[in-house]
Amino acid sequence: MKSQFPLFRKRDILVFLVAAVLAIAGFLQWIPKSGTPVAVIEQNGKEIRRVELSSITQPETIVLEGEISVTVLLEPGQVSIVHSDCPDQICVNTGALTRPGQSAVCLPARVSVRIVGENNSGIDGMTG
Amino acid sequence: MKSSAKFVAFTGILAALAVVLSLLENLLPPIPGMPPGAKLGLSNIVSMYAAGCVGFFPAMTVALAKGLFAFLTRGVTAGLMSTAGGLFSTLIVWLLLKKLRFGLLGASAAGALAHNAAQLMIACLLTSSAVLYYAPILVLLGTASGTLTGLVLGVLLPPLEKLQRR
Amino acid sequence: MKLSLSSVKKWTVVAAALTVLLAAILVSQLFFSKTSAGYEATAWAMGSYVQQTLYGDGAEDTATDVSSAITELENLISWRVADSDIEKLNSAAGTEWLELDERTIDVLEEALSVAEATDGAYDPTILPISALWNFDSDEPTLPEKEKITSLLPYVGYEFLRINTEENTASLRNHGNGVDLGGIGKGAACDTALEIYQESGIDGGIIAVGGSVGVYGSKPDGSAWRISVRDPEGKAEDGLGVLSLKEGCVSTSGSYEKTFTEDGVTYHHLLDAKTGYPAESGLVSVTVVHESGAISDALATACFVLGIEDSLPVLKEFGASALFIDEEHHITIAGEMEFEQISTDYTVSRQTL
Repeated sequence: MKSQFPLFRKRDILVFLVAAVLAIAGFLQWIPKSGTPVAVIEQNGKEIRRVELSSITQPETIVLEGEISVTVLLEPGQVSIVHSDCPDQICVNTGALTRPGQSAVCLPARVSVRIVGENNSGIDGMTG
Repeated sequence: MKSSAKFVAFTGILAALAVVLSLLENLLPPIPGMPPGAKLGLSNIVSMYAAGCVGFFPAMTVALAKGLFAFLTRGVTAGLMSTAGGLFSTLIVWLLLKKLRFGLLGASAAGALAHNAAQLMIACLLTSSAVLYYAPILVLLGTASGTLTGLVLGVLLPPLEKLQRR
Repeated sequence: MKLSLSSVKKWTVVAAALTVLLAAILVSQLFFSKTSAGYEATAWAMGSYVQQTLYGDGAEDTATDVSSAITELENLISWRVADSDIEKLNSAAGTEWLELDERTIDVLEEALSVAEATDGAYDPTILPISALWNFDSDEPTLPEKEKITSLLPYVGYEFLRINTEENTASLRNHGNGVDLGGIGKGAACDTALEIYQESGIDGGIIAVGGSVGVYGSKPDGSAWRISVRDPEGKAEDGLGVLSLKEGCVSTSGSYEKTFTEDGVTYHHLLDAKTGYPAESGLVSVTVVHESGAISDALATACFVLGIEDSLPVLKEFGASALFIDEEHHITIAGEMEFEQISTDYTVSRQTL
């Protein structure tokens, strides 16, 4: 005696296909997105410039005038504070930033340069 | 099955059977390393049988009964999740099996996936969208358990249909 | 209803399935991008750069609440802000007891507890000396030796008295002064963590200058990873990474605020005993503690004390610390999950 419902029909493959694609799409989400790192330059809490690091082809210097002047250098794939009139020079000593989550801050000048984007460096914060 | 009294009684028996099966399943220890809510779905066998061989409304009644039972024994969250999952999966199974004439394996897998999807949506609304992290695992588990249910039905259906025809 | 598949063309089914599929993927993408990215906010407060990253519902509102709460705290405990609690306390030095905001009293109490435990290695009454050096300004100066000698007697945590029941405080002598610069950033982290807790967000991290506080969990459930800055700025990723489930971490480093005069470099971590920058052979100290204020004050105290004398203090507070000395050696005291990155440094561990 055969059931009115066959165990398997060709169109069943569709269901499994959909399941497979859904599973793959879901698992892909687990891989952290590399994203495109974007450099954000702020002065006194105001955004001065926002630029995709990968879109920079030529070095460019940005001079932020103020009581304490700060010079930011944009280069292909990286950004750095290259000059500051501040006494401590912490911002200059921070060096070049290349990955999301990194930042260089000149406190006296109230200038910050940071890289935003999907953080895949595994670092959530910095002390020191 | 001509008499409506008999029909109602039969639906009741099916609902009771589904409740007992889900109760049994809850007694099983949770599978280690699996996300919460990952289950075998034994009672889905009853839901599928109801959707395929009895009718749309009896099948939905079975799903509601299961949801109500979960609501009473395991609280509001579990009740909502079970009801949403049961109703949606029954709808999908009925649609695929009766209307689009899919095979048992396909319909059963789709039903399990629909069950998980609805549950996940409820969990997402009630807790946080972080539960969506489990989605791909649930898709795989749902497909596997759905296929299993389909196979079991493939064995059980012929004698059941014979029984029903009497 | 007579709807059989023979009447429905196969491609219709395929198209319908694919549409559903695409929609599902789009929806899941939307949800996932929301959960994994986190909300970032930056601000200036406590004379520092404030960075927050929050996960979960209500992140944006919570970040705004935190920013304003920290500014409020700054307006209470900064001696530079006119009409702040501390400015009033300093002006009233040698006269009467003042009733202050509970938040101010809390910070003063924490400051005193560290000052007492470290015998003044961290001292909140350093203002007469710290104002001379003026490290927080654009132009710190090397004070005359006589000035330091004459003002040193006014520094002493025993001059600061608080009554936590009535929320009052006083400075005993005219000339005493409180400077909470060594504890304020940590206290700001505590303020943030309290708000995170009440807000119902899933998790958050706040950095106020070198003080970092973490709350709750990240979307993937892993511990918060905090990089320790390389004092020489060579290692881009820092010296190494600290893993933290909860609580705060603060660093006091001699490289933070410095100036050079006549070939000598002076840093801002002043020894309240001598009135001059502390010389303990250390470059920086990083302290982990559940309270941000305590970790901040302890970091300063441990820098002044040196490794040996710090150990009993850390034990007393249940804190752990990471010392970096001038010989490129890292000493980790107490339980701390630290993963070294830079190979320029050697590491040893010390039990408390």
